[in-house]
Amino acid sequence: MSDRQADFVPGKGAVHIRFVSGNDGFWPIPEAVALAGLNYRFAVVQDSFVSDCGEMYFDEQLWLCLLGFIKKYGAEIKVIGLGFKRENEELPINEFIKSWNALNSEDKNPPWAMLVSEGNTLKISLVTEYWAEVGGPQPYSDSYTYSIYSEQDVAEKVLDYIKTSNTSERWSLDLPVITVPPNKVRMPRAKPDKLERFLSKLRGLWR
Amino acid sequence: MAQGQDYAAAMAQDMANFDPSEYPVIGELAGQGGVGNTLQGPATINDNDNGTLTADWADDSGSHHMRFTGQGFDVHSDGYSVWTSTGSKDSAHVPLTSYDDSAAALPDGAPGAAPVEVNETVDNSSKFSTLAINGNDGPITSLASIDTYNPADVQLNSPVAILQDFGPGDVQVATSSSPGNNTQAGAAAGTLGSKIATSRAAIMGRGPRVTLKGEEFNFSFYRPAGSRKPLTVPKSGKGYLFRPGEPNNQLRLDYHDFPPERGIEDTWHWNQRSVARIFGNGLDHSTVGATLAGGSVTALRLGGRLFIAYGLYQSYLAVKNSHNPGDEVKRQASGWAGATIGGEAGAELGAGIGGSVGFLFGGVGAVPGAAVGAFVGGIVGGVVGWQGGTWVYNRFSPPVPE
Repeated sequence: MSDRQADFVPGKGAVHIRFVSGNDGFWPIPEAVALAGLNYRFAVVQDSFVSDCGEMYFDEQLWLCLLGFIKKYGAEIKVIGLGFKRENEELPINEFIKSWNALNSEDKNPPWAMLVSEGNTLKISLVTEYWAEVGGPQPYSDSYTYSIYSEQDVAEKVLDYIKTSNTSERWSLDLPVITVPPNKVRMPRAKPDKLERFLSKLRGLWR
Repeated sequence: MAQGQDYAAAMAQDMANFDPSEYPVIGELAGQGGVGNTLQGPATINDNDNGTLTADWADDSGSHHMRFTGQGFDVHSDGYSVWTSTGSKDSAHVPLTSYDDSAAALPDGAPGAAPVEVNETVDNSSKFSTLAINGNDGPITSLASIDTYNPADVQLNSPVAILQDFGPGDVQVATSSSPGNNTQAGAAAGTLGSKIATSRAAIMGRGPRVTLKGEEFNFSFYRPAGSRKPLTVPKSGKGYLFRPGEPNNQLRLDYHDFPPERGIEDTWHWNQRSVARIFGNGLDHSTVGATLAGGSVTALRLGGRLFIAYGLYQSYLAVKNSHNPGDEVKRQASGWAGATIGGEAGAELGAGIGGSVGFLFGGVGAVPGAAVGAFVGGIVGGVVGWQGGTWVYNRFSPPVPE
C-alpha cells in the first residue's frame, strides 16, 4: 500500500461505458478459461477519461458491480494476477476482498482475472484488459475493459444488471453493443510465453 | 643526407607493378584536417629510408591542398600523384612516372631544426595523393599538424595521411596509432547508446532517472515492463515518465483516435495516473503541448535511427578506404563499443537534466525535455566514448607486423 496522499478527488463527470461482443483475442486470458471452452466474450469498456477528474479514472463501483454479477454463477471464486510483480498469484475471493478494502483508492487496480466455479467446473470468468496502461485502438483505447467469458451469451443479462445497478445514473451507457469479428488467426495466449517468462526472470535479477 | 634520387631509385625497382599495399604502414594521421593532428607513436624512418605521405581525400574532384610541418625528413615532391583518379584506392593507379626534385622551395626538416612547413597543391582528380619523403638524419621526430587549406576536402572517416616505408634500409615498424578520430560515427554510436538507455525500461523496468519535485521518475520511449499489455495490437504510448517499480503510475504521451463523442480532433494527448501532484490536475486526456511534444519525440526516435544508419555507413567507408581493413574493423568496433557505453551514460545524465529543465516549461515539458536531453547526452557521451574505445584499442592492439 502506498503512503502517498491521494492525487485527486474524482469529479462528478459521467463515466462512459461501451460494450463489445466478440472474441477478438487482443488480450491474454488464463489457461483455465481457454481449456474450459468459455468461448463467448462480452466486454464492458469503461473509459478512463472522466471530465472534472484529473487522472485516468478506475471506477471501482463498476468493477464491483461486475463481480456481483459473476458471483451468481458459482460458489467458488478464485482471483488471479493481483498486480505488478504478482502476475501469477492466486487468492480466494474472501482474502482478496480483505486486502482490497485495505488499499487507498489510488492504489486499487483490478486483478487480471476472476474465475467462478461450481464444483469442479469453471462457469464464468471476468478478465481485465488494461488498455489504460497502454493506450491502444478504438473502442478500447485508454480504458479499463472487463471481458466476461462464458459458455453461453450473457450480454443481455450483463446489460440488465448494469442498468439496474446504475441507480445514481453516473454511468453513461453507450449503446448499441459493438460487435467485433472473432480472431481466427490466433487464440488468446493462456500463459506468458517463454520470452515473457525469461524477461520476468531478468527483471527479477535486475532488481 | 639521403638524396631524392634514392627515392626515385627505389621506385624504379618495380615501377610497373608498384603496389603501395605491399609496403608496411609505419604511421597514420587521422581525423579531419586541422592543427593538432599529430602522428602518434614511434614512427621512425631512418637515413636512406624512403616513404610516402599519402592523403586520402573526400572526393576526387577539384584541387586539393595539403599542408604539414615536420622534422627529420626531406620532401621530394611538388605534388604528383602516385594514385590517380576514380575515387577508389582499388582502382588502377598510375605508376610514378615523373619525379621532380627541382622544387627546391620544398624545405627539408632536419632534426633539431625548427619545424618546416610544406604546402602542396595536389593535382585534380586525385582521390589519394602522395608526397615522397626521404629519411634524413634520424627518426621522424615530429611529423605533425597535417592541415588542408580546405578541411572539408579531407576524408573524415579514415586516416588522412598514411606514412609508408618503401625501403631500402632498416625501418622500425611502428604500430599504427591513429586515434580513429571519427566524430560522426562516435556521435551516431552514442545515439545507439541513448536508444538503449531510453528503451531498456521495456525489458528491465528501469530507464534514465528524472527527479521532479523531489520524486524520482524513470523515462522511457516504450511501455515499461510490468505494465500489462495486449497480445497483438500496437501499443500507442510514445513517451513515458513513470515511478520506479510502479509502471502504471505514469505520465504517458499517447497517440490514437478518440471516440467521436469526445469532440477532440487532435490525437496526440497526455494520460496520467497517480502523478497529478507532480504534473498538475486536469492533464489526463489533455492535448496541451502534446502535438509539439509528440512531434519532437517522433523526430528524435526516427532521427536517431537514421543517424545510427549514417554512422554505420561512415564506419563502412572508413574500413573500405583503410590501408589496413582488418585493423580498421577492430578499431571501428572498439569505437562503437566505447561510444555506445558512453552514449548510454550520457543519455542517463542528459535525460535527467533535460527532464528537469523541460519541467520548468510546463510540467509536461519533462517528457520532450528528457527525450532531447537523452539524445544530446547520448551524442556527447558517444563522442567521448569513441575516443575511449579507440584509445583502448590502440593501447592494447598488437603492432602491425613488418
